[in-house]
Amino acid sequence: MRNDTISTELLREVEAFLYREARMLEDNRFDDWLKCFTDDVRYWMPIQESTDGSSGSGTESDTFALFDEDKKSLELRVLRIKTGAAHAEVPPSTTQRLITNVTVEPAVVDDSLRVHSNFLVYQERRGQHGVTFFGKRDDVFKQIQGDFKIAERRVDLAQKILPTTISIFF
Amino acid sequence: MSTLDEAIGQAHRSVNPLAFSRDWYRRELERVFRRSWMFVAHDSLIPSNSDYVVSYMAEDPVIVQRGRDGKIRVYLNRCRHRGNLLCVHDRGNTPAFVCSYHAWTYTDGKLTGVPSIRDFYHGEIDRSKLGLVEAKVEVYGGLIFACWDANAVSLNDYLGDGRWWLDHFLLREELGGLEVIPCQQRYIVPVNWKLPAENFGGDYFHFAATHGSVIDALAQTDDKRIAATGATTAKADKPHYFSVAANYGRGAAHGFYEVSTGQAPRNQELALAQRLGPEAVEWFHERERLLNEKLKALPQRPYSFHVANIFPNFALVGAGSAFYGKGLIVHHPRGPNRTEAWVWCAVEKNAPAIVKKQQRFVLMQRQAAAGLVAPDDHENFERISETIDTGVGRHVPFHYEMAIGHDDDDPLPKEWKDRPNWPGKIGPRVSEINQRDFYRHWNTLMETGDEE
Repeated sequence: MRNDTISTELLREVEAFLYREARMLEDNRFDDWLKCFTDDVRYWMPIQESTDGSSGSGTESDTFALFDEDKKSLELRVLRIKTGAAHAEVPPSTTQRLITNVTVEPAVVDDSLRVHSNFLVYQERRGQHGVTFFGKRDDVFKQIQGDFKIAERRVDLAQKILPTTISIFF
Repeated sequence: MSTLDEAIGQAHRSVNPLAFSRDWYRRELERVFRRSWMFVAHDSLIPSNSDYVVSYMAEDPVIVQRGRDGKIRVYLNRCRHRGNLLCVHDRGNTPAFVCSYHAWTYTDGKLTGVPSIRDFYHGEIDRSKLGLVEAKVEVYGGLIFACWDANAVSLNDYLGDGRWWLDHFLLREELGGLEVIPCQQRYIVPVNWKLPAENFGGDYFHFAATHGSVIDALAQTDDKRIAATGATTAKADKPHYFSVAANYGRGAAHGFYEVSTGQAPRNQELALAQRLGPEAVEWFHERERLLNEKLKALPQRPYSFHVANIFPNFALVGAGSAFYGKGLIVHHPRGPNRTEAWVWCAVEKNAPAIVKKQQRFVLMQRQAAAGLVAPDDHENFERISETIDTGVGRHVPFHYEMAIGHDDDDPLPKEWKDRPNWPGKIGPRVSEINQRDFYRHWNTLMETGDEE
């Protein structure tokens, strides 16, 4: 087991970070949330595709994706929500986030960590429309000045057909 | 204020409110979708023989395949024996589809295999009459369209005035044309399919109210790489904008909007190209030069259109900028109040890699499943849907009468000495002419036909 090389204490620290991060999103503290990421973060969500024969799968960067963001474009998303006129988030969605199945492995190349987690995110709009997103995340964590930062986050939704357009973060 | 009777009694010259009801939905599948040309895929997704992608024509799943002879065919994705779904992948390559239920096998649409045909059927089955149900197919500039109606007009006639706009501002075959990058976004919107269709077909009006947050956020960011793209913020030299109703008053109603003219859109685009580097600048100049050459006889060459809807449910976005991926969007009906949107990203085939990367990024970031734009439209549609088919709400008509007495006013600036003869009916930037014409054609289809 690769996880043997990770102490229980480190695993708990990573989990605690993920829970804090989820709480920031539940509380709509987006500026705090942005600070969870390095300045050169790649935050992206590929598209699930089922292929047979010789065609490729939706894992490469040159296929279309649901989003493929960097720090600046994430900041723009937050700016938009903060205008108060982004109707998809007026009033703000209520979200509940269950983060589970956390595993941590040391990266091969440097002292960063490969963090895997599963999630279930329930999003409620105006007390009328509730949707649930299921998926998993593969993160690269860096340890910077005693704190973790996420340097890459790949989000894979279990759903191929989104139950709604996406105006929340994962 | 109005009483309910007054509201119901108001002339709804354009659209009967029952157009959005469950009562009319089944008839619409028969009369509108079964008789219209529908976009199913782009030919760049199936370059080799036996390549296929699956798609939908309204609610019906179809297989779009390049046959062993190189010809593109579109089949109902349904075994002729018990109606089982034949192909379960999104795309792939196979010469033959084998049904998972009893292994009936189809090659290029023909029934080529029935297990133990002599023993079980005594050889008494006419395989030639049991091929897959095949739609008519025509390809226009790489866009594959299909239609179930054997008597439908040709795709050329169906697109009509729209061809000129598609040729010059979307398909750009003189530049090498489009290629679609693999994978498409799919998302559900709880709304009748016609609301997104009429929005893409002409609703510039909604932009400020619905998408103001994007303009505000772009004004605040210091990231000029993703500054507003296309014509939306170009005001420097008072550019003129228009809408176009293709086949106005006759035939399939296709709407184009945010048709831009003047130097400002070009200047803004050039600034974006410069941020991407000399390769992008050179390509952009060549892109302009080739189109200028093609349209040199035309006074007032439009820079582009940006958004369109090809009747009934094929929407386009992103044509207004060289640096915006071309969104090919189909709003598949999934019930009177439910739509499944499919978004493909087309990039300009011969563009430098850095431009293609930007096109992919900008489409995702804007009018797409998780963009800054589409979710706000979605939210409005969701709000509309709450009373669209309720006991009282369903009888109260929407208002489609903006400037209805002025449809024949000339929207072109007086100072233009040479009047451009652009195909289609040219309307002002903000207009409901296109929407009215969309429902004009829709009504014609709904009022005729003997199916059901």
